[in-house]
Amino acid sequence: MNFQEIFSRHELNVIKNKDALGNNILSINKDDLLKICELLKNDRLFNYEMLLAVIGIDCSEHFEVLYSFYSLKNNKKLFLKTILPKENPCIESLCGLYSSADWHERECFDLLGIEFLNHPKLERILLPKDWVGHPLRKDYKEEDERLSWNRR
Amino acid sequence: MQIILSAVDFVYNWARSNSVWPLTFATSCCGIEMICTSASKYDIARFGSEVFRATPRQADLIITAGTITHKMAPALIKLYEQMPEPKYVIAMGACCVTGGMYENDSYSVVRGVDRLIPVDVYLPGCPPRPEALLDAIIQLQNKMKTETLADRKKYIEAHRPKVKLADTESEILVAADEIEIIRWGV
Repeated sequence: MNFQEIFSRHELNVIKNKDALGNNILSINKDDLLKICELLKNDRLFNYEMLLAVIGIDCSEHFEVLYSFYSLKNNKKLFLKTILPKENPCIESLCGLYSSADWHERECFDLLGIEFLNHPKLERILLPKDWVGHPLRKDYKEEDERLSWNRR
Repeated sequence: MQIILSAVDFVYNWARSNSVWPLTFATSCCGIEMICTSASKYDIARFGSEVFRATPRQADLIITAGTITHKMAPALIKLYEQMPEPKYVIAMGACCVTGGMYENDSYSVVRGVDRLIPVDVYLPGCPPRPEALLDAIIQLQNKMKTETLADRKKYIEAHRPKVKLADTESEILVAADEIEIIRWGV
């Protein structure tokens, strides 16, 4: 049984690609995220019990969030790719399923401003709490007067 | 008086310029070059600087080897303030001189260590080779040899940090002209 069959059985839209190393990359709809992750974690065919990283990418026209999973049992990696709109990007948090998602999502929120819904403590993790803006966005401009001593 | 003083200066400067003890302060890849310089191949001991001290209280030179970020800045200033006079700074590497490749649009890097503390020798390069660091130390020694005890007050005045820590408990930096600066402590 392959990916497509399982996902279509659960009525989920998934487009499968492969990267240069032969890992699967699944492009998914952001509303299906929780359902798919639950399937990936609990289905004994997949068994992706480890979330390695949550990566946010600013692609100018939209945001991408890339989840990287690892299956210890099958020694396989899998990537999930979701596309978020430029205006008000938000996606469901994975903290309920994978506890490692907590800090990764906070970092993603801190630097890119992607909102993770139902996250237990969504606040800045690397930058000061009163920082203005999200510095890894392509259109970020540092205009904080308190940092004026550090300008060129 | 001048004659006696210049004779004392000569001996005094000769002695201290040939035993410059650097502080172990390496924040990124320049630190590897600094280690290499102190190892057997380049051997910084030939110039009397082989004793890398792990505490600022015993050091009289700080080689700021590597990128200084906003979070590192309070630690750097604290270390610099703890060093006894006379103290010297070599800004090693492009990041310490101007901010280097982070100069344009980094949100976290201090654009040059000279915004925080006064610098004696600028050493560009990314990272500079060990020979370059040795040359910087020789330049510093030459500079030390021109100093005189009569100008000591002037010298101490010129070596104050440009930014000072607000108080020892918090890590808020306050610039000399009292700009409020973001608290970077975790």
